Amino acid sequence: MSIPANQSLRQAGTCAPQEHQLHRRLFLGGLLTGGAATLGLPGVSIAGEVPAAGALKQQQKRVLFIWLAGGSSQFEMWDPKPGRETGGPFRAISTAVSGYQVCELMPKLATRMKKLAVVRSLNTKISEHFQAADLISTGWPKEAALEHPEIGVVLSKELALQDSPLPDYVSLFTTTEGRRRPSPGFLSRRHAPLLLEGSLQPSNIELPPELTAEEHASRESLRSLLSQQFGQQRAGNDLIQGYNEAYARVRGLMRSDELFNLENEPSKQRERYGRTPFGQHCLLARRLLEAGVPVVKVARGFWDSHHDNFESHRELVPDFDNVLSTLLDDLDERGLLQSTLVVVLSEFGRTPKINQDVGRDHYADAWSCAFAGCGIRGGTVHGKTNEDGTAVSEGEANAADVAATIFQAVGIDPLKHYQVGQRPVPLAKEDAQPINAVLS
Amino acid sequence: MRQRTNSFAMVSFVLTAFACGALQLLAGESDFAKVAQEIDRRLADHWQSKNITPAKQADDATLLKRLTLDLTGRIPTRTEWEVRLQDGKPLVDRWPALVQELMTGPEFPLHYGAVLEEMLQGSAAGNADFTDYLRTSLRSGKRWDAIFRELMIGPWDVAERKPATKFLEIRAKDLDRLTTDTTRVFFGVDVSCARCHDHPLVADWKQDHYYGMASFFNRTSGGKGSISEKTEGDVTFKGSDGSQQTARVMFLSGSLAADPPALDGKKPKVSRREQLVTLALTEQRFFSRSFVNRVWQQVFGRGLIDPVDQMHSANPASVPGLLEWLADDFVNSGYDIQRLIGGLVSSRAYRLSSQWETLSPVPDESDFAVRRVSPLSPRQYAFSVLVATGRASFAEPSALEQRAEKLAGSKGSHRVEQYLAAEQQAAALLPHLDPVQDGLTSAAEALYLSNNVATQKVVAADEGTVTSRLVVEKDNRAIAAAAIRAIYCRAPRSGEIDQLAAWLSQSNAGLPQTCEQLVWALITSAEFRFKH
Repeated sequence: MSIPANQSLRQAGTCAPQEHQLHRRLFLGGLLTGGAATLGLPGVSIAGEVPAAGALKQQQKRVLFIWLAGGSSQFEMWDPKPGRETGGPFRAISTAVSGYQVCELMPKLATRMKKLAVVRSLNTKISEHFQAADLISTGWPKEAALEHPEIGVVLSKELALQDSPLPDYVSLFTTTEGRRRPSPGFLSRRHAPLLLEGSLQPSNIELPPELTAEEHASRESLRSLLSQQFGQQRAGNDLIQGYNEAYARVRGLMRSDELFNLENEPSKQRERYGRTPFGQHCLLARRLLEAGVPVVKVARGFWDSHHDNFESHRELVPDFDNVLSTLLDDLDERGLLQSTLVVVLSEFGRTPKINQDVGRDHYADAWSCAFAGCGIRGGTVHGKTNEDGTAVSEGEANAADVAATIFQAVGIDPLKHYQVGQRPVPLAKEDAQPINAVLS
Repeated sequence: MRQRTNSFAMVSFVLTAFACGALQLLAGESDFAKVAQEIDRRLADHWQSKNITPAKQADDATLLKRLTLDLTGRIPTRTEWEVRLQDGKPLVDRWPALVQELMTGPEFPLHYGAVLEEMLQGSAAGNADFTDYLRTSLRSGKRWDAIFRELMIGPWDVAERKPATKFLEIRAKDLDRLTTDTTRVFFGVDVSCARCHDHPLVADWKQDHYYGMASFFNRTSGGKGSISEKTEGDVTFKGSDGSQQTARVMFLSGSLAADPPALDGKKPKVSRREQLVTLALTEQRFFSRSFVNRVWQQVFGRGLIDPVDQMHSANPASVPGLLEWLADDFVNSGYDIQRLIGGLVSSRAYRLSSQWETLSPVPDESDFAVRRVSPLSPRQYAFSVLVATGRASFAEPSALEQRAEKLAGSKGSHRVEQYLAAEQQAAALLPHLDPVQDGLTSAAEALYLSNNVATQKVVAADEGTVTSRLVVEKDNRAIAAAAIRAIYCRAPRSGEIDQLAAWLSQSNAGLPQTCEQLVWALITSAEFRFKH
């Protein structure tokens, strides 16, 4: 890597006109001349790679995770068992895919099943929240010495566009349950998401008080220039360039505050998603995806229904039904669905057995997830559970298979690997099998 | 975030321990010189064999800043660098005395105790009691083998040794983590890959090693301040042939431990962890090399073996014989931590410049022939920001305070108080700064330092701060020069003064505000953010 001689000019090009002049007048007066060679030293780990503009990235693939935190019930959503003791009180309704029924709480999605692919045959074994969430979100079992990055973080590294002024990964959540900090694991924090906690705006993107935009930009251009001068002929200049890149993103993120402002969205659109936090988050997610943020996650909590499972699902599923339907329509209308993979996941499903508190407990042996959009064959229903939903009877898949499916859907080889110290680590676990049935 | 429990009791304990502690024998200049000479001799041979001409020596201001950062965790104060640099003699002539002064000063054990805590605890670091235990251990010249023994088997009988349970305590509920972390941190070996099968890439590590190491810990349990160990129980595992096996109690070297035979039908009490300590200290090799390599990494930015937890036959040290010599010397010195660190920073290699000004290709970082810049740790950066902006005081005690210390028999307590006060101020900043890990900076750190109100407050022109002193300088050139001195800890260069003065003169804001922004640009610039 080396700094192009016109680096400061190029950066100035993105500034306001007066800043541009400032740059030229002050900083090009022989200060960067001399053509001193800059040093690029070996030894930066894979984690330090700046995302390259590969063909994949040019296609602008995007991924949206909808994380139903706590564990949603497959019985009250994707895999109803009407008339069985385990089935609960709700009816099953027909969908646009002949022969496939969903719970009556999802009438809107039922009509959109041609856009969705459902996997009803997950067996992920672990039914403790944190361990299960780690397993599903990384696609890897826990290892003491190697912390695996969340799939979203890997995607943000793989799909990030170089020099994008936008964040590579935004994670939104409303409730405690959804508050998982996606781990960058062995990857760099550079790929970790921008977290939106209880606010629709990222922290620290507003101009500090008592500072004008000009002053803010002016001190940054001084900081940047001093840093570049310092880096010249310096062993480790690659680190310094990365450091400057982080600061270069600040102005971009600040400019994106309009993007995060839902007031800019027509009120009709806001009503369409519904004025629920989940609805508004998904609307924001659509705005971000449309603007070019490659990875977004929206977490929706309160699915952990050990008590009154049916009451809570009667409340949660229709909101989910409405929001996901709207989101799929909206993405489709904007021509984004083809390039956007939508993944609906949680840490596990719920038990077939209805407990004494009319609840369902954690169950990882037989549950469901759903996909839509990029790389997905809509209208597919993969795998089956037995009559009572106690076990997978056909097409069993595990967490690593889900991870491989996600990578495959956006066109990334799941066996592509990172070199972590001495160890080559594939994106998805070596023995993972993408669920080909749902892939287009 | 650092939780300071019983802060008053702890502070007074630390003050007492630091100020009134008995005189200990600490390694001296000649010890450091012996170690340094050997490093220099072996590196010179290495460079010659690879036809490398190393970088020239860094300038005095850079060297003083580098050494102060490494030994006290902060940049030098204005007074310190003026006193130490401006007496006309090249710094290298006074280098041994300076190393000795900083290493025996009150700040070294405070700083290095925190460094050791991060090394031992990793992401779980931040326990004040444990840090203070390490600090007092270093202050009293306690050796690395003694610290290891106290962490593994105690005795934890008195208040000052009680926090030594922390290493086991936070891992006691997770045998895999306890096994893996102990093996990585103390022996430089990551055996976790050999849990499910013999290590696929490293021929050295078999399932026997993983389960052998686990066997030293499977009888250990506890948490919340207590650690206990049963006298029975073995580890069983499924071998690669599918058969169920009982693990042998085996150290990495292959040496075995066993339960002593029963006497009169009674099992004698034996501690597996004690067996581990005995084996590790008898074998020496893993225990000594791992620590030396980790200290080398802290000082030089990269281990002689890299990564530091991948020490095995397929990943040899980059400079032949050097790590082995240093490890043997470490053992022969009785695991003297000060001698090791003092030796490393006394070497010529330590003083090399990070600038590469010749046309020849830059040597690989594993050759240590040019200093590679490395990001300051969050602690070093936070402390340095506080010193540079004048928010933390590391002023010498006044004559009156010195008399008071003398009368109380507590030389240095003033500095300990200043350090702990700065540590408290730094705590607010730490969670927003990037760990050294991969050396890369996140947008979150840049956003925080660019826009958070707290950062604005740090650079504000309040009374007594660096910004308020800049405001009263006579003109823009004087402001520029003073800012460079105060923040970069060096004399300004003429082009630099022109550049900063021009920047100052184009500002439309009031002078105090303009100076605030100048201070901001300097403390967030790469020259300040990186050790170089």
